[in-house]
Amino acid sequence: MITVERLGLHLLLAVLVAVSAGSAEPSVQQEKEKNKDSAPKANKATAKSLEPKQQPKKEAQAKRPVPRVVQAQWTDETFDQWVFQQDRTASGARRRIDSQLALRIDDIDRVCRLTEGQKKKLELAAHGDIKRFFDRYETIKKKFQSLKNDQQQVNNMWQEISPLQISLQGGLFDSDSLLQKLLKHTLTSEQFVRYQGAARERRDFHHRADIELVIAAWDQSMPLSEVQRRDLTTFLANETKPPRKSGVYDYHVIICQLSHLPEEKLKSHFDDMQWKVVKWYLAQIRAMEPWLKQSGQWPGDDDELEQADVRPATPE
Amino acid sequence: MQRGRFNRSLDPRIPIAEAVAKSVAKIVPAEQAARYQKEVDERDRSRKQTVVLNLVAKMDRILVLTVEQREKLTKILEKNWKGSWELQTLVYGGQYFPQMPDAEITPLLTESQKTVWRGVQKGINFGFQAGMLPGLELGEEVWDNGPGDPAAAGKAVTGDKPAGKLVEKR
Repeated sequence: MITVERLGLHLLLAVLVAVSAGSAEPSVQQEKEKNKDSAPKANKATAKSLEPKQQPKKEAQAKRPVPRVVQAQWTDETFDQWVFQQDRTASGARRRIDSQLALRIDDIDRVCRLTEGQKKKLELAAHGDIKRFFDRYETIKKKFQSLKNDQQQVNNMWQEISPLQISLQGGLFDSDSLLQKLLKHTLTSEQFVRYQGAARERRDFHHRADIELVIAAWDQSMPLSEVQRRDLTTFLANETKPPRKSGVYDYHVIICQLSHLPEEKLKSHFDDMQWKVVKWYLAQIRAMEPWLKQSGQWPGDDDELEQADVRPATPE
Repeated sequence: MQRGRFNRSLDPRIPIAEAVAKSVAKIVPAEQAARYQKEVDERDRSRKQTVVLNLVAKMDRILVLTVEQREKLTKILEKNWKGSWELQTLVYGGQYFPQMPDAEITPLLTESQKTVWRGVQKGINFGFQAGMLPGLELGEEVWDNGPGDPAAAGKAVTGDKPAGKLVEKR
């Protein structure tokens, strides 16, 4: 099992790979390159001003290893880009979250036909979720500002930054949100049943997409037959639950759950060679389980929470 | 195999798969070759379905679509399928989309959804990714039946288990 610190570093690496692969966000590598670039330029400028006969001596000096202390220069903007990723800034993220909220309320309204009073209550709860997120962000940012010149401390801070990223990726209005909690007490029984039906349909749709993604990833590494793909789709649908917070780690949540099944149950779907590959996947991703739990993505036993605690709202 | 305008040089698996299919057609009887090709086509169809389904799911996370919108989007993406909508864009995170057929997608959306969709970053391509198996030693495949061996016929890759017995080279 990897330690939380190592996991933080792994996450940092994963983010850096993603960032350097496609987005325009500056990466640690770029920051380092910037520092690296500035040093040779200074040497070049100095060399130009030297007399030709002095150059060999100077070059010899330049070849000598000179101890150099490279101080990481993390800025507040860098921190914001880590947290808000494609939104880049808090205000950009805020705009996107507000739009998401509007879409969310529209959806609930479409399914439940809300009264104005209900709509206002739900909006208020959702604004509470938004405030809660930005309060967390401000707290962590303050900590970052006090530690930003210490590389090791900044690395350790990924344990705190990564849950912020996950919250944003999965949306702020998941099953733990104030919005979801208030729904139960704001909607009438009839509305709530309709809402639950729609939510369950959506969750099942996403779960099916996640399952197909897992099977496609396996198929990419070790070709499966059509019969195996069909068989595994049914098996995974029966044996796994959707993640509690949907996002980019849904795939890992599914595979981690498989690692809890009795080996024979899973092994019977593969031949010996394929099983080696599957075992490798399970071992790799199993190490992420503590973090998946810690970040609230692991499906809980109370995933049907909404069903268990239905209290009809007082009609308005 | 419909691969759209995907830059084939990005994914070495495509020419390898095609070369294998060609060899199979030459070596095995026509019936077996047809069965193998069927399996290859099924794999391609399944992969395409996974990508489309996941793109719609990703859009749904952002736009909170209705069931009807999701169904229509699925049809649009199937119709406009591009080989470049590779799995890596899906694996590498919910925030990245390939270039999408917006001319057909936008009319399906509500005004609020359109506003959000316009702000979504699209057109990110990570290039080839060879899966997630760095350095896993699987051993060499040795087939216990020679090519064209009647015993191997009927047990080709289309069955529940792959044909032949896989033996690890020592």
